[in-house]
This record gives sequence, structure tokens and C-alpha cells, in this order.
Amino acid sequence: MISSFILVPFFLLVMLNLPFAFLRGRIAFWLTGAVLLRQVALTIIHPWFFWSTFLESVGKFFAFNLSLDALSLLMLFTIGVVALVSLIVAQSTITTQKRRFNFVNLLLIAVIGMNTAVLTTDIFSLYVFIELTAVAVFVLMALEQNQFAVEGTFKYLALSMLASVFILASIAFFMLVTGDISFAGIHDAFSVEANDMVLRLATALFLCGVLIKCGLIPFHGWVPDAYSEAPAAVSVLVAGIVTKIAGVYALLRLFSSVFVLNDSFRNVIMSIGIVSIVVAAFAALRQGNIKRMLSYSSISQIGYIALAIGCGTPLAFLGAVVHFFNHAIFKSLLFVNAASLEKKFGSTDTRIITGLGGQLPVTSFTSLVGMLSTAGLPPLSGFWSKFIIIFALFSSGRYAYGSIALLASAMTLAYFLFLERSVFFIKSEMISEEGSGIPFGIKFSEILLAAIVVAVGAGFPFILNVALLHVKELLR
Amino acid sequence: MTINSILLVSLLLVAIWTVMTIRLIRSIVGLALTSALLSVIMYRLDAPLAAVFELSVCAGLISVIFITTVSFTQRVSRERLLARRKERLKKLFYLPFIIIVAAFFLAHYLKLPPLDLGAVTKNPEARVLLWNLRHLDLLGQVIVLLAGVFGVVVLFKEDRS
Amino acid sequence: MLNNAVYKSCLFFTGGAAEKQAGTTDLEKLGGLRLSMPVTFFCYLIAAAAISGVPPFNGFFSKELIYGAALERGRVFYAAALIGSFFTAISFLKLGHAAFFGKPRRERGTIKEAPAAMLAPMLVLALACIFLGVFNQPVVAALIQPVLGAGSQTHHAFAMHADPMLIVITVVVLIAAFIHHYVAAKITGAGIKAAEHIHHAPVLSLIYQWAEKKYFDPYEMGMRAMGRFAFVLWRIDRSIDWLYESFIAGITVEASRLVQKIHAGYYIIYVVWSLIGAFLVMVFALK
Repeated sequence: MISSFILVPFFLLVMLNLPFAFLRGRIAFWLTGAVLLRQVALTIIHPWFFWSTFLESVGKFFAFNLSLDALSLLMLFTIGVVALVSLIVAQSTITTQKRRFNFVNLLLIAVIGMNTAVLTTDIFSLYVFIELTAVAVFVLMALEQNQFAVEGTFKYLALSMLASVFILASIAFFMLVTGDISFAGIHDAFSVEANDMVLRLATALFLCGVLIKCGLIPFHGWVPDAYSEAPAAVSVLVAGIVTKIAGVYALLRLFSSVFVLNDSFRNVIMSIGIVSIVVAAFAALRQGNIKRMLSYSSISQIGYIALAIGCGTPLAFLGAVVHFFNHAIFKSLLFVNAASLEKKFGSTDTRIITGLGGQLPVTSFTSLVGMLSTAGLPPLSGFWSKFIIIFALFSSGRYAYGSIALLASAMTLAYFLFLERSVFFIKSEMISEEGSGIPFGIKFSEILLAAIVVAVGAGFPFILNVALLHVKELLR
Repeated sequence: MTINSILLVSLLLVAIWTVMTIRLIRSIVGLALTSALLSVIMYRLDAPLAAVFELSVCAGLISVIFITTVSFTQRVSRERLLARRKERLKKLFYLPFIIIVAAFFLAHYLKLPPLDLGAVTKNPEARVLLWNLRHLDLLGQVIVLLAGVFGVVVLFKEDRS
Repeated sequence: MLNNAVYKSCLFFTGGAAEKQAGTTDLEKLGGLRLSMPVTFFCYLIAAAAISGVPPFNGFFSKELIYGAALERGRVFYAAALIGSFFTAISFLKLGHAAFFGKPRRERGTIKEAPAAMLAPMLVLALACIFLGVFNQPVVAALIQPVLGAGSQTHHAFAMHADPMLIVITVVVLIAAFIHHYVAAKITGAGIKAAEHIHHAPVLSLIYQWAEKKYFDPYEMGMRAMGRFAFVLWRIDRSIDWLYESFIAGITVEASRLVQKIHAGYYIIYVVWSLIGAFLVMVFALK
């Protein structure tokens, strides 16, 4: 029962906010964890649990028109994993219980928003639930209420409002051409008259809005500040899944199977992608703060996805989807590493933190896995997705884009190795003040994510056949 | 000048006043006024449903939330507020000109055909629209409002302990 | 290629072991390691012999095949291959002499053998050198021949060619290299100086200087070029930022000071970027 993805977290949200004091404690964490774990489990094991019969009757009342296809399934899995990791990290890093409770509530709201966004078949619903996620994330980012966090939130807010203007204008134009703004309706409008100026204008406006949400250049202004100033657990959530679902999922869903793009559109998307890859890679090289560097690296990787979507062939689309998933996992992993560094040393400035390999063995090993995967080293998962994207570019004749993307991969490796070496592998003069180790929760999430990266990388042919090839059917 | 033009121009003026005024409470009033003007424009454009919602939600509910939020904040000194406004003006004043010029350029360049409003004038009933066609969005909106209120409480309410 | 992988890796392992135990790779500071690191020395001997093409190690067989093919092409290539072999032998003799023979620069007691984890791969590879040398026929038949296909021309050449003249020449070259090293070491007094005279040879000295300055190292050159390139781009990026900020400051004089004072102003730049980006998208996508 598809609506259960929305209704179960909503029910939990309502329940947690009942005025009983005992709900404010650890039970909130465990229940939320259970809900997210259920989401992850359900996306892997397709036959629904027996709970679904109970929810069937509830579902009749809430008869939403949702659809669950291969892409949505992958998204739901990713949302579940990253949200779970974020929850665990929050439990370990957020200090006061009140704040933890608030985090849990807001996380639930964000998860509801994201789940519905990937399940819906209507462009306006997509917008509503993306905005819902954004509202929850605004509050989450500002949770610690220091000046930098609020500044980052404000920048995200300002640019997000600009994106909303574009998206709403675009939806208005679509509504103008066709009264039905579901995905099917819009696709039909395109098949009637693909060159209609209003439709193309609406697509362009939507593209601008979605690009701001994705954080591609030149719409990326909010990304470094928002990612780096947010509290640790929120950075994991935002970098890992929120930016993706809000922006990249819309790109994946709409710009491959709903809108019909002509060549100039494709060129624009690909140019923005390639510019993002290169410029963000160069910007990352010079950063002195781990989280800022990771945020520029995110921009760069999302550029790869945009490049693949612009290319348009089924293979490129597959590469984009796989890269989406891989990036969610390894970027979350890297941000969890940053969280553990922050927990141990109180800062993420690389000029201060050096040579920690011995003191943080789990963190340094998993960060190596994450960074090598980002750079695209076999046999980790990042290699496969980058390989598919670059191969698709070359096989569709776009040699220039492919070569630049390939070279930028070397750039990615360069700045990551530089960071690895200075933070983890140099001889250390730094001794941490607190003798405490890293909380088990953080270690567990790091290991879990690293295991997923390695497993997906090593077992990629299997995963490709089982889970991912169905995604290609989405392309019409 | 038609009434629509007067309404649009006054909408613009009220909006600018909302942004530039230094007292937050006045901004909230300005926001409510903007929404009211917008709902009048909507009514004149033959969309009474939208006008009703605009008025009740934006001019009513949102203002309540805003005023609640502002009640949690502290006053800032007048000099700082004036300095802020001055600097905001200096940063922002060229922006509308750029946008208008760019919009003109695009409008000429794109050569938009006259828009056909046929597809949208067949409005279903409010009940049908909300509960049959758009109930998912309704749920979404309810959660958004809850999230907004929650955010206000989380961010602005001080710890009494 | 296969053989090269085996003996080259073995050599690097021995070098790494020596470096780890002695703390340096400088030949001036090493010496007499054969007594304190016998296993490493043994593996080095085997690998160096293999790379020089001493029978019955694997390098000998592959080099013979190459000599035979080179001679088929022309005498020049054969001569060049022999000269290369000569110099290879000399350099490894020098290396071995300097590092493993001679007076130890440190007391023997302070340098121990490398740990077992490092010795194991070394030994495996050294044994592989021997194995691939002695049993070269089956290996070639099993691994290499399927790759090259049943090309009839190559088929017969996989048997050891029956021309003993080439083997004799090879052995002569090896003996010559040994004699050269022995004599040079005697003259200059130490193993490490045995090849010094090459540094002063007319053309080669220039090549040596360039190699010292790492002109031949693509990584070094690439890094320097990258460094300059990245600097240029950083400059461009900074100048674009500067352009925007000074454009805003150019409207009024005080705005720049106030921008620095109050953080919140910066987001305007991002909004401007986004609007410009949106404008460009519309222009280019709607052509």
C-alpha cells in the first residue's frame, strides 16, 4: 500500500506530539528509527508486510493517486537510509533532549515531504511537497541558532523563494496550456505540439527553478554556506538527500520522461552540468574547511547528473540514476565523517585539524572509501556510475563533454587526496582534548554507509540487473 | 487607466513599503494588505475561489502566525533599523530595473503568442477541486502549516528552564 | 611484460624493505646490508639477475625472444637492445654493491631484517622469477599464446630459437658488464662510484642533469603545469567575485564598507547570479 509511506510517518508525527511527557525521550528516536527502517526494508523486499491489510481500509479514505515505479522505489530506499543515518548521527551529536525531540519531529516532516514527492504523479503536488521538505529543512538548519547557521538558512531561504517563483510561474504556464497538470497530462500536451512557445517557456522556467534547488552553477550561492554552517546531522540530511529529492529528482523525473526537450535545451543543461563539474572542482581545491569542500564537491557531482540528463540517451539516464544513489550514499558518509571530526575536535577547519588517522581509525578508513568512491576509483560504487555516464557521453557522440568530465574526475581525486593526506595521514601534532571516543552511533553509520558503497561497487552487475535496469523503462 | 492597472500599481507600492519599512509589525500589516489587493485582482479576473482562499489564508491565517512569531522577538534600536534600511536600499534598488529590462528583452525576443485561456476557465466546484482532485495537496498544505508553526515554536520560543 | 611485472615488483619490494629498515634510500648512506638483511639480499640478487637477463631466470628467456625479434628487424635494434642490457646490468650491479656490500655505514646491530609481512611478497616474487624462468615453456603456452591467437607466424617462434650465437653474445655482454663494474669499483674504491664516469660523458651528462631536475617526469611536469593552471583559474574566480562586489560598491561609496560590516548583504550576490543564470537559460534554451 503505497500511501503507507506517507501515512505511517504522519501518524507517528501526530502521535509524538501528543501531550505526554514520556514521548519526549528516547522513545521518539526508536520509533522514528523503526519507521525509517521499515521504509528501507519495504523497498528491498517487495511483498508488503501484513500491516498493509489494516492500512488498506485507511487507504480507501485517503485515495491518493500515487504511483510507485522503479525510480520511486530507489528514491524511497535512499531516503530511508540517509534519514536513518541522519537520525543516528543526531542522537549522538545534538546535546539537549529537547532539541533532539525537535529534530525528530522535523525529520519526520521532511521524510513525509520527500516520500510523497517521489510518489506523486502531479507536478503541483511535487512542488507542494518539495516546499514542505524545504520548510522542515529551513528550521532544521537553524536549529542551533548561532549566527552562521541562521545566515546559511537565510541564504537557502532567499534562493529557495526565487526557485519557487520560477516553478510556480512554470506550473501556471502549464496550467494555461493544458488544464491537467499531472505528468501524463503534461506529456500529452507536449505530444500535441512540442514546439509550442508557451510550453517551452514553461519548461525553461521550471528548469531555472529546479537548477536553483539542485545547487548547480550559477545558482549555487546557497550551497556552501548552507551545507557547512548547518549542524552535523542536518548537513548529512541536506547534502545526502534533501537537495537530491528537491532538485535532482525533479530533473530526473521530469526532464527525461515528461517534458520533451529539443537540442538547445539539452545543450543548456549539459553546459550547466559541465560548468558545475569543473568550476566547483576548482573551488573545492582551495577550501580550508572540510564541509565547504564537501559542499563544492557535491555541486560538482550533481553536475555529472545534470550532464547525463542533458545527454538524454537511456544509458545516460541509467548513469544519472545510479550516480544519484551513489552520491547520496557516499556524500552522506563523508558528512558523517565530518560530523565525527567536529565532535572530536570541535572544528572542521583543515588548517587546524591534521594528522588524525591514528586517533580516528574508523573515520579515516571510511572517509577513504567515501572519497575514493567520489573520485570514481574501481571497484567502488562511484566508479560504475561515472563510467556509465562518461561512456554514454562518448557513445552518443559528445566527445568534448565526455573528455572534460573525465579530466574533472582527476581533479576530484586530486583535491580529495590532498584533504585525506592533510587531515588523516600526516604525522599528527594534534592531541584531542577530550579523551572520549566517537559515539557508537556515528561509527555504526559510517561503517554502514561504507559497506553499502563497497557492496554496490563490488556487486554492481547483480544490482544492475535486479534493481536498476527497470529504471530505463521510464524513458519514453 | 483601468481599475486593474490602479490595483496592480498600488499592489507594487504596498509591497515595496512592506519590504522597506523598519518596524516588523508594519511589515506584517503591509503583507496582509498586499494579499488583500491581490485577492481583489483575482476576483476581478474571474477567479472568486482563488480570491477567497487568498484572503482567508494569506491575509488572515498567515498574519496571525507572523504576529505570533514577532511577539517572540526583541526590539532592535531605531538607529540600527535605519542603518539596515539604508543599506538594504543601496543594495537592492538597481535590482528591479535589471529585472524589468531583462523581462522586456525576453518578451521581445521570445515573441509569445497571445495566450489562450480556454483550458482553464472550466472551473470545477470548490468541493470537487479540493477533496477529489487535490486532496494530496491539501494534506501537504496542512502539514506545511503545522511545520511552519512548529518551526516558529522551535526557533523562537525561549527555554523556560 | 609478465616477467617485468614480477621482477620489477620484487625489486621495489626489496628497495622498500631496505628503506623501511635503514630509514633512507640514499645510496651514500646505505651499505653492507647483506649481512643484516639476508632475505632481502637474496631476493634482490634474484630480481636483479632476472632484470639483467641472467639465465636461468625469467628475464633471460623473455629477453632472448626480444633479441631474436629485434635481430629479425635489423641489426640496429639488436645492438640497441644489447646496449640497454649492458647498462641495466651495470646499474644493478652498482646498486647491489653499494647497498648490500661494502662496509656497513651503521652498526650491524641496529638494522634488522624486514618484518615477515614484507618478506613474504618478496620471496613469492623471487620464487616466481625462478619458476617462470625454469618452466617458461608451459607458462608461455598457457597464458600468452591464447592471447596472441593462433597466428601462424608467431607459432614457431615460441620455441627457444636454436641459434646459440645469440645466447653467447648475451653471456658475453653480461660478463663484460661484470668486468666493467669490478674494474671501476676497484679504481674508484667503492661500489657506488663505479658508474660515476657516465655522469661526465658528453651527451649523457646533459640528460642526467635534466633528469635530476625532473624534466622527464610527467607527474612533476604535470603538477607544475597544474599548479600554474589552478593559480590562473583561482585568479579568474577571484576577479569575477571582485567584479561583482565592486560593481555594487561602484553605485555608492559607502555600500562596500557596510557590506563588510553586515553579513546578510552577501546573499544579494547569489540572487543576482541566479537571475543572470536564469536569464541565460531562457535565452539559450528558447532559441
